[in-house]
Amino acid sequence: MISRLLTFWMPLTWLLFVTICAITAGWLPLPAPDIMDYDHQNASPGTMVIMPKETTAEAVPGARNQVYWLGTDSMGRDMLSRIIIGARVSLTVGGTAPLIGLVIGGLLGLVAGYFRGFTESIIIGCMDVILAFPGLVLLLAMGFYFGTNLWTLILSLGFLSIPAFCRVSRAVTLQLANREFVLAAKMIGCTNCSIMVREILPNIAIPLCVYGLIIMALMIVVEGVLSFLGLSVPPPTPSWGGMIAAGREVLGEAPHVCLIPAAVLFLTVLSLNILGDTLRGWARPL
Amino acid sequence: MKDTMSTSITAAAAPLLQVADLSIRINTPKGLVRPVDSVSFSLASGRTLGIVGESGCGKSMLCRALIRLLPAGGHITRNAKVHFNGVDMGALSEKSLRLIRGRDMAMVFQNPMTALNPVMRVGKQIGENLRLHTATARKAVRDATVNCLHQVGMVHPDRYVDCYPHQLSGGMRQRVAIAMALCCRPQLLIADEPTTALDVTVQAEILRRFNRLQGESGMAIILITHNLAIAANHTDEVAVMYGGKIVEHAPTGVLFSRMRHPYTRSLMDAVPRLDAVAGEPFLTIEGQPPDLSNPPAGCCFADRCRYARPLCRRAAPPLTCSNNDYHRFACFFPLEEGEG
Amino acid sequence: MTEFHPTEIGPVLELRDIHVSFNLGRRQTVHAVSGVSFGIDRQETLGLVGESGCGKSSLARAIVQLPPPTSGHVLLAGCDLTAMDAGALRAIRSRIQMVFQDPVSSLNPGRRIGRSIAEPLRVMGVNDKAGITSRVRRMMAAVGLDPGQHEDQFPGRLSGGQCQRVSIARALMTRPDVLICDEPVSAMDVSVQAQILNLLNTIKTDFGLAMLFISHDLAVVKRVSDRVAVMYLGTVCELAPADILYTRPAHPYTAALLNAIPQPLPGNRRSTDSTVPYEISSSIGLPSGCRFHPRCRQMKALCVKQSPLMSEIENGHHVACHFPLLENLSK
Repeated sequence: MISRLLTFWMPLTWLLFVTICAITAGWLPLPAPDIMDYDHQNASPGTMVIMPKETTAEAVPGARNQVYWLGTDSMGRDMLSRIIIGARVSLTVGGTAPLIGLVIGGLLGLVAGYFRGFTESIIIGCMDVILAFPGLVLLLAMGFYFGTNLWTLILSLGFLSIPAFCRVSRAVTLQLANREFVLAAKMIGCTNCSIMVREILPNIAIPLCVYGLIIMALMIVVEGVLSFLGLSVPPPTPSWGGMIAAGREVLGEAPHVCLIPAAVLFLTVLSLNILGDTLRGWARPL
Repeated sequence: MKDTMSTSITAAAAPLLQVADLSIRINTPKGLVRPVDSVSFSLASGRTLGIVGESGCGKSMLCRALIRLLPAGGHITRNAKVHFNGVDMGALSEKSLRLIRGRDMAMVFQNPMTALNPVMRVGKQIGENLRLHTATARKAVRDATVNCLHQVGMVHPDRYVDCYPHQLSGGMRQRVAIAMALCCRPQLLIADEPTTALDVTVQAEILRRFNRLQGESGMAIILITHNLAIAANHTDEVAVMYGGKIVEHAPTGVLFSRMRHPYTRSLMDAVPRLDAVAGEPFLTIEGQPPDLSNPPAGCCFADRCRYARPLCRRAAPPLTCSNNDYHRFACFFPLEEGEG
Repeated sequence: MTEFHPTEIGPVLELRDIHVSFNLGRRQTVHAVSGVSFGIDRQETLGLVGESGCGKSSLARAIVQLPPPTSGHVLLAGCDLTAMDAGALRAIRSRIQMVFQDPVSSLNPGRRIGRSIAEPLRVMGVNDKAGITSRVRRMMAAVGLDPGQHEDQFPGRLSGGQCQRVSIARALMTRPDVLICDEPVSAMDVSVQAQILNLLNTIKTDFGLAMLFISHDLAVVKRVSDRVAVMYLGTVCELAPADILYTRPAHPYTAALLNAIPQPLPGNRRSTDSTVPYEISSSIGLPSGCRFHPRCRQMKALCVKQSPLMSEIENGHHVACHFPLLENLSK
């Protein structure tokens, strides 16, 4: 019971919480992430301040209390709202890029594992080329030609994740394609295409999706590193990696600026990994 | 059986192996499973005991209990007594057990491909065993290995001693596995379905060789098989297992001519015979073997038995001896002699 | 697309000089099947026995053209399967079906039993859902499965014997003329084996099937077959009606096989083995002349030089041996 709680419910709850916050960020009663409060730079978490009158929509008699639940960064921006908005970037990249790899890599691996021979050699050869290609160079080039925005990032990372999914898909397909139920399907008169889609694909879908969760975690970390290096979405859009990078400078006097986004990143990645492992353990063995 | 008509089981004095009340419990995610339940038997040197049963009856788990290599989560119950050469196996340390395994007690497994290390030459695997358990000098190991292979019937062993397992046929691999087991001249050989994966001609030859080697060295053999016919031709005594228990145990000649337990009779009837009439339906045993995680209260064969009565479902019949003390069976209403 | 014009006369399945070879690379070729020819009449069961490596499974796959044989012809009701294009072949596949050795691996692990059995109907284009369900249920009952209990289960929950029943049910859905059973009971316990063999005997008569029953177990084959063919290293060495083969074998290999089978009668030892314990590891380095000569007790010079041809020594009894055991015939 305890192990179920730890390995399934808690990671799932955290992920849902982060996702829901990211989606509903616009409606939450938080200050905008780009509003800079120069009077309260590097404020520690839980600081309560009196809201400056100039930033309210209309002049209100009396002051409003504002609590910076997670403090502010070195430019006085509210950490909580920045983290929630930053979650959007991380989750979008982490969710969409692996999807590209899963669909394309999964199908290529299915074809390679089913047909073997020359087809397989060509597909695996292409995968080896992609694997050997330095990813950072690709990102820099894409950024240079198409601008550094979310979509070039997603497309580049998705492209780079294709070989991993292709290998998993091919390995599972190899296990299944030699079994007698495939032969039985051929004996009934099914075409190769029909066999791949109706017999094999449903069986490789689950292992691929479970692997996808692990890749999601990896993508979030990669995005973090890239924004740390300045290769991700440009400021002022917040992203977790960018926040960690910015917080480096004030690590001495205001460690929360760096450590809180790092902790959130860590928890999210950990939850994805644990959930992926748990689901893999539950999946019916082939 | 072998050359002599054997009508006696092991004499009580000084048996090589004595097993009393051996039970195994395994913790699985689905609950506690009892693959072996209160098994008792003895075996003297120079004799072969055949253990016959279908899949799931516990015979393989029994072998593993004898060499004390149970799967994770499995343990032997405390009141079990296993005496080998007069020594209580349960009281030995892991180090002493390691000395016994391979040297005094050897095992041959069912699938020779998985029993051999695929990345090591076969000669080296046998040589490893020799160097571990005997005092063979390093220079003499190769000759000793070739000699072992020759003794198990491999033709031209010097050609194959440097091969990898995948370069050999199934029959040859099994000969290598047997040579590995026998190279240290063990006192007890446990063969777990050694010929199931082999062709019938190779099977016949390997089993005959077991008998010949036993005659030369006086070792005891426990032969596990699901094939009654093999048990009939190559053993001195036969124990039939079902649902983790021994349901009948007798000298081979006695068992096959005077079966008392309905399961033994059903098993015998289900075996396709060469001299049977074509067109007649096969006699089957309806139903499924019992679920060992939830064994029934009464006799475990009651659900599938033609002759079951209410008492059979209420109480588990004990293993009783017939009057001459050589033939044990666990049934409240055993078949009369000659009945079928 | 060639039309399929089945004939009603002659054997329902006929093999003419089938050869199956594989390339292993490094210029090594495995000759799995070399020149096999026989025919199966309607509603007849032909048993095919042989030890591992004799090519019986390769032959079975070649008959159903998965993959097609290297050379030779397979005629199903008079139509040459080897000469058909892919489209025509797909159309007549329903007339010949196969049951495999491993019952669990014969079923798609992610598909429920009811849907697995209904799959052939779906492929053939039958759309009537209610009709399909009732046909599936009738077939499940015919093979001894309870539709209510098993229809919605996954194969992982069924035992080996039950999975084999499902495979048989699926194979019968297309009402084939020929059923090829490739070692259907080898992976089972004796009691389950007996159940499945009884089932095969029943459906054979109920559905009017011709059957090719492949096995390494001579005792099993005897009980289900009308005629038996014995294979050794890719060739058929003897073909005879079942009772004649077992009582009067004419080929030394058949005699050796029969001698080697243990019988469940203690002390029932036959005469000493009639083969030399020489191991043939594969069909790559084949012996010259008669393939059995290295293991044959009565080998002579002619056996090494020349391969024997199949000849009929008595009515329906064919043997490929220069010196068949004719003394058995007088018994």
